[in-house]
Amino acid sequence: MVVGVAFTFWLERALTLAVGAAQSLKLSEDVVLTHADRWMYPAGPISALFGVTVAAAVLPFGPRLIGADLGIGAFYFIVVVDFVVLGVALSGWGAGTRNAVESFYRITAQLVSYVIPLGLAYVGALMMAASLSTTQIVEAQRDVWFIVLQPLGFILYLVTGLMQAYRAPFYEPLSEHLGGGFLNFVGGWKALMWRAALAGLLFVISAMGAVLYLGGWLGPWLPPPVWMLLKTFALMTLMLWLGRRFKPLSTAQMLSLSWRILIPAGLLNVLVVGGLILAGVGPQ
Amino acid sequence: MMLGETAQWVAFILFTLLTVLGALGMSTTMSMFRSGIFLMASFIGVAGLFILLSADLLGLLQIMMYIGGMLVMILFMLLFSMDPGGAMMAGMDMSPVERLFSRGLKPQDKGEEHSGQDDMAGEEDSDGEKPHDHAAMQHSGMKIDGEHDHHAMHNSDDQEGLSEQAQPQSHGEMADMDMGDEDAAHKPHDYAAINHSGMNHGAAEQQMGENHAMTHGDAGNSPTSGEKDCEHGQMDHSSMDHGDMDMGNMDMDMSMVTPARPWAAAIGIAFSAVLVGLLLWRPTWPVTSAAFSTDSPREIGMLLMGKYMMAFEGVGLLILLGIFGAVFLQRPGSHPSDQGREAYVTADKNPVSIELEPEDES
Repeated sequence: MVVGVAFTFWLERALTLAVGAAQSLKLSEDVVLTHADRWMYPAGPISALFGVTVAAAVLPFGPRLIGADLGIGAFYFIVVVDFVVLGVALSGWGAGTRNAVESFYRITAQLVSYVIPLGLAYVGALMMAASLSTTQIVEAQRDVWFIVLQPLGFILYLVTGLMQAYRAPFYEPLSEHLGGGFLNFVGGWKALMWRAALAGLLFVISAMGAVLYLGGWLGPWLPPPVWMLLKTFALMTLMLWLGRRFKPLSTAQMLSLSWRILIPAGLLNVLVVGGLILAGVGPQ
Repeated sequence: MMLGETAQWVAFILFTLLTVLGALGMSTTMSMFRSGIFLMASFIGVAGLFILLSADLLGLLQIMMYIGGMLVMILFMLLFSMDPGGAMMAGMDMSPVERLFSRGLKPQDKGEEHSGQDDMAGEEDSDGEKPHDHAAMQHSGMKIDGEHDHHAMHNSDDQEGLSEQAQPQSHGEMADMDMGDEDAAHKPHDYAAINHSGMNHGAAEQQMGENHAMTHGDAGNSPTSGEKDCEHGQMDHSSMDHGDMDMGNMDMDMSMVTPARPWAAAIGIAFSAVLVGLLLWRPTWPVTSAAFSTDSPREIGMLLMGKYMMAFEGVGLLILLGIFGAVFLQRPGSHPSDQGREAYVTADKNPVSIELEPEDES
């Protein structure tokens, strides 16, 4: 996890010059806010980092190399990643400044816009694997990766994953138009935790994408963990690179994108996958 | 084995505490935001109890529903309520529990309440708030001093229209009250200021008059009247750092002293007594003989997809239609957004129209 965060951080700095929102946080000095809520404001980064760390527990890096092979791993993952949004809410409101609160509003709106298509993107892969356990999902892709069978679901996961990670076209709540959002008002250990949480968020989301669509640890010659990490970082690179190709979207545009394109596309993907399963394509 | 049992007990106690304290905090804190967060914590505690009962899926579902749902609920609550941060209430007289769960809330400045941006004074925005802070400070200083600061407050607090009307009354009031209770003497002025910055001028004046009379009557001997109570509150816990008592006062009448409150407590205690009684008595109702199954999610799925399939599909279709209807009603152009928010929109003014509906644009 720590290695993953470090790599993510380095990769993001290497790839995107000014986009990673948490990159410019100052660690050496704490920011003192006059209107901060003494309890909620420090609770934000703790909650966010907790969510990311706990989510990493169900990521399989090898057949037996997994923190906890829960029967409902994928669902558990979706749930605990939500703690990041809770952290943003606590921190944004607790900071007690205009831009921080505004960024909290927007991040909640962003949550509303990505959460349904993200769920649909999961559902496609889960239907084929016929299991919620992350190791089962990987095992189900032994013959053919799900990206081949459902490219639409993969694209959907790319978009919603970027939205969930607050990266390139979907970083409006943290953008410079809001003065960096709530991130502008953190410093010291909180900044460090936010950095770790946001980089870790991108890492776990890419890793989950690799598990769902790219066959996880499966691959010839190399040992499983290496394959897993390779796929994770390849997916991360792809996501960040693609994200940079598009103009940043406002929250309203994200919502309309979600409702008009992503959700219908997700439903279509589910239909197609249902048809494929009926036709006998995919793992038996 | 021993270790596992201990861990279970510890987890149970922790989750129970989280649930109960969360509920307590939810109902006693002054800040609506905190209230929502406490409710969320309480539900997460319940989810932990579910997981202890090895109903993992149910517990996780609960967490998912309540993090996302509660955040959206908080958002709407913040957008539509007058004092979501509890800043008005923060300086009020509170019971010890309320004080505990409202610790650290900052009372609010006048200008900010007006601007609709809650209790936020941003670092960049702080220059705009300075005068208000000043006024508030004088105001709180005034509690100790007497008449002179009251005048100063009047001047610094540039509320033109109504407070001019209020001035004679205030002065009269002050002359009357000079001998004794300075605190009560400030009330009418405070009311004037608030209502001015608030909403309804006509009603404000009337209310002011009434409160006037009330203050007069009650100032000396009746500590139960709202305003009097409030003043005591402020005098008592000065550690709470409240600048503006007047905010609290205004809200006193509306929501804080709800007459139903003791009833609510009594009903709560009665219900818990009934529950504990049932737990001890353990009556043999027909439900108790029904077999408990650990495989309930699968059974529910079977029922939904088998016996109740048509009803399930019908409800799904209705919900889908509802969603489409809501999207249709919310189409851009019918509700132009407010000028002030335009500045916050990141991307350019003309969003690229998304391809599905070419006739749509805004």
